[in-house]
Amino acid sequence: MIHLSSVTKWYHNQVRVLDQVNLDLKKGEFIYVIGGSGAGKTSLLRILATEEAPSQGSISLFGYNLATVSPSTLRAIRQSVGYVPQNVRLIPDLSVFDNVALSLSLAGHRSIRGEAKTRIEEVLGRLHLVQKRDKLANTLSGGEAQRVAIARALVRQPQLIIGDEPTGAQDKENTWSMMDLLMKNNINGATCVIATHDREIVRRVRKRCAVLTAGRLGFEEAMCTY
Amino acid sequence: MYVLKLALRPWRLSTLSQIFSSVAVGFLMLLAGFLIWLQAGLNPIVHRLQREQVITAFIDASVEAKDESRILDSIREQVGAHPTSDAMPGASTDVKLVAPAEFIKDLDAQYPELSKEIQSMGSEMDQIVPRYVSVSGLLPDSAADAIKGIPGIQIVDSSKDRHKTIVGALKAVKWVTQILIIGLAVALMTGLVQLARLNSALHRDALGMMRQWGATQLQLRLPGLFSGMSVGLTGGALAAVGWFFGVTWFAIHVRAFSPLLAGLQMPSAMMSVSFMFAGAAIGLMASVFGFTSETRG
Repeated sequence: MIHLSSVTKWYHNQVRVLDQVNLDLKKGEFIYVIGGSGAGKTSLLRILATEEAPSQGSISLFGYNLATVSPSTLRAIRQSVGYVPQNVRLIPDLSVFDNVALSLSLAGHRSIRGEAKTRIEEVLGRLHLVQKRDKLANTLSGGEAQRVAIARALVRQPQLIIGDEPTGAQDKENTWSMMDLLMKNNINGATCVIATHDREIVRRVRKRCAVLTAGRLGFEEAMCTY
Repeated sequence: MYVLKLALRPWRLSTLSQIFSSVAVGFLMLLAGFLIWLQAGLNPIVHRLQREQVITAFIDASVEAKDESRILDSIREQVGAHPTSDAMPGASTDVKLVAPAEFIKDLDAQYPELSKEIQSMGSEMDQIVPRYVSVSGLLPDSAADAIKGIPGIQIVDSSKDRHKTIVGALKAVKWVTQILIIGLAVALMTGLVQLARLNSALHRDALGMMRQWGATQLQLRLPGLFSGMSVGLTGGALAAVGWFFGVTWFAIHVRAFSPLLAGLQMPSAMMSVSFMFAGAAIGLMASVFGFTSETRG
């Protein structure tokens, strides 16, 4: 499903934010990516989400090497990924519903009616956003915006879910609602890669952990005790 | 549908820029429309002035009255207006002998004192009062020279020489008009291309996410294309309203400047519809050149 081989990433200042990262994930796996600030979590997730290309090394998703993949296949891969970026990046002047619906329409649902509309309403309901469905995204609080970003990623029923600290701005109730949704998707076959600082989540929902330290994937163990 | 909603983002995020651009587009299109109308209207006037002539051929005093009809026939033949040949191209040409009596009659109407004085000269009057043939109509350039060669013709005077300065001035006006139209088109496109660039900056965040979600190239370009088209269409609509209500007033004033310009055709108010289409097309074209869907990643 995901195969990273010697992935190295540096930016203009030539400092390596990822250094020789190797990672293999099978379909349906759930993995936490943990590490301190500046360890390279966001860079790793951006590369996995195809938002950035590695400076060195290779990455394959769904069996396709991203370095050689055609634009149309890359689009199809992206349509199968649900990505929650750290800075959420909602479209500020569209409503909550429209932000989520736009994501779904770009995943191939030309018309947001019937089943597609029900699916949006359901996801918004699970994330306690029904009251906010017609609010513009730029009027939401940080936590609400983050939940909309998760709804936007999950509504397309992706095969790969990538979350960059998706519960960072949530209270406990919403954190567990979100984790519950992620787990349900995982049980239904979605592969999940979640970066988090929240030790409680890692302790209570025990899954594999990938620990990044200064750009190196130091160790990976079966059930992490972060 | 959601892509179309994105297309209206610039109107929400940068309302004044879109409004001012639309008004500028409308004004420039209206101006270009007037210039095109003027330029097209001057064409037949210049053409007519270049082709239409009034030739006055003065008959030599020694020519006897019985030879006048021979001279008249020769002139008709030279300018292609022979009475026996109706099908000839110059059939509409008017060839008329103005006899001394007719000349005196005209003179009497305008200058009665002078007319009386000339008539009191008796037989000497024939030496002073001219006999001439007036030829008017759409004549070839060589008509005056051809008439000049006819035996019995003393002097030939053509209005074409007098029209030369007017034709030159009108040609200069046409030339300046053409340059102004090109200048307006360039200004229009430059303004809209710059607006499209501004709009693509406004769309950048949304396009970045759309690309991440697997949007096609067309889906990435559509918001920008529709944004540009909306500004062009609004500008076109403003120009159409201006044209519909202002064109008659404008044309009446231009035509009143000179009898020559009275020949300009009245513009059609229905032309205003074409401004809408032209505006949308220009907006779309400017977006194709100016809007970039490039984002990070």
